[in-house]
Amino acid sequence: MKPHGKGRWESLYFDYPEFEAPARDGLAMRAPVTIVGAGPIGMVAALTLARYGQPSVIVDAKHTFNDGSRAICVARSSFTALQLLDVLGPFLDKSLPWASGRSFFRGRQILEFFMPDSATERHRPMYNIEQQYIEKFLHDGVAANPLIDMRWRTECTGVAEAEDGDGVALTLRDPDGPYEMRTDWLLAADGARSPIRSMMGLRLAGQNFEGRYIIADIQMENPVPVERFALFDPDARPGSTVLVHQQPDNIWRIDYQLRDDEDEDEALREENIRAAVQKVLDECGYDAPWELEWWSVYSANTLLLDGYRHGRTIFIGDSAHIVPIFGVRGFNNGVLDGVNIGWKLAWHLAGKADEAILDSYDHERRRATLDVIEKSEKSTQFMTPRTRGFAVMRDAALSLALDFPFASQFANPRNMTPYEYHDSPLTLPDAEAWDAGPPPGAAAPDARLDGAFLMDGFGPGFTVLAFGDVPGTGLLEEHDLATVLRLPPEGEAADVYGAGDGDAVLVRPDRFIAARWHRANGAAIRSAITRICAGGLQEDGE
Amino acid sequence: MSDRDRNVDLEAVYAALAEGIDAHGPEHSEMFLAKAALLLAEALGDEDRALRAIADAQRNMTGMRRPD
Repeated sequence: MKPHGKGRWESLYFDYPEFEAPARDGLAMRAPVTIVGAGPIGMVAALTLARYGQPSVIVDAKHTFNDGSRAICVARSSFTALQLLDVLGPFLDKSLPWASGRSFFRGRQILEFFMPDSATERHRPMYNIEQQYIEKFLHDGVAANPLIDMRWRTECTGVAEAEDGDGVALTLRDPDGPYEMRTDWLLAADGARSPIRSMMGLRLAGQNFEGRYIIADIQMENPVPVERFALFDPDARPGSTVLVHQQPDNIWRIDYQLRDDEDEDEALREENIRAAVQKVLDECGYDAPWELEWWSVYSANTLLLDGYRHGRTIFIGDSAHIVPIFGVRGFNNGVLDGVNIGWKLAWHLAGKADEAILDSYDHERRRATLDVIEKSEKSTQFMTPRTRGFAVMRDAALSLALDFPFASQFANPRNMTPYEYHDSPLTLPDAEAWDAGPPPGAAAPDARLDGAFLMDGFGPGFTVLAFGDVPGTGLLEEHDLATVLRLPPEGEAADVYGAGDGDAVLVRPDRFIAARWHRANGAAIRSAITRICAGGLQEDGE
Repeated sequence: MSDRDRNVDLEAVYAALAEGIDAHGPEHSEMFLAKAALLLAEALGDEDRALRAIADAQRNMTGMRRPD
């Protein structure tokens, strides 16, 4: 919502572009991949496909980006993905890095938390940036990419597996009227209220939490370090929790919980938003003048689809899963969805992987969502207790935390870390014991190397980290199977990966570790890549 | 009884809990007891024993009848 007298697309800091539908003349009516939804996740999927040479069509009914700052916390894992997609530059220039936060109970600090960080990583644990910029920077990459056919003002009104078995039949409608199109694969990136999900008769299953939160953005000059504040039971809103985040362009996000007895429509009225924000600012000691930009309301739900792949239609991002905002896992997990399906579909379309590899998308990303739900239920139960028992224990923990640090851990937001694909069919468990380093299935860590970073040298596809003397790796390059980084058997990279002379680590295109070996050789690595591309390692008896 | 158990003057703990419940009244007794349980579990440093104690505490939840 916007202040009185302001239009939906009027903003204190962002100029919404106005996009036109493409001319119908010469428009392709057949595509290998069509993506419905030009939100961040749809664009990440298109950019991932294009990174590997595969064209796609994106359609979106809107004429511009989503309004409001929405998902503002971008985790390191997403920066790694943006680097892979060659669109990271503007994000680095614009966003605000942060690594710590503080929680207060009735005005007294009970917790200061630091997210895991290391000088061996190029990117910080978290960056704040408004979603309009996320969409703009991704769209700049989309618009500049000849492989991506972006169709704004184009709504998908019908979807069906084609009766002749030849792909998916789509009905699209732009300002000139409806038209039919065929696509071999359909990625549904059409958001939490996904029309494709409804048209296919699919429903999200899970829990609706009672807690409702208002999010309000203001513009205010307030030069202080970037961190995240959580206020439990502040004088500004007794009995409620408040979150404060800083964003670029002097925009501040104030989230506050509505009490059960508060009327939502009343709370959303502009004068009530202004009064609530002012009280929070007073309590924080911020006395600079401010302007109201935008506000909205959300509830903390955990919902997901039973299956993310339905034939030739694959659900990514919010269309597949809705998770509570605490822990900033909605956008960041959506990015991992987009990159995950992007490389697998690209490998399949290029004839380098069997169709079975697509099922591993459901296996990996659905388990990632379930893990998010389990983790966020803990923070949600703390922020918004669902029962009297959880409310009593929350009060007990907060009150203990004033004197005993152990109790403050209950108030830790447990922010986003990528789910590890230990039990994925694409992950090869260690054949021999490793003393250290991230196991297969984990996200690949970075390390400083020759004045730059290890990951800068990763290939677009599979990457092999060969420590010291690993025989036979030339064959991987000859067959264009992987980029081979020949690394010293000692040093930071070897330390980070727990590797020594003769060891090798196989990293997937999406920067997750697939396998690692002591006394590695090119033939074993080649065999692992072949089996990954066949869609699974689990049934192999070697 | 172990040596450890013999070191606990349960009479004193019993009285301290009763006095705490009286001091905080019906409104805050639950929170007081929850805090005491968390502190004791932390001091115990043994998740299994703490969870067993919490399970044991839920058996036979009947006290003396109080005629109106």
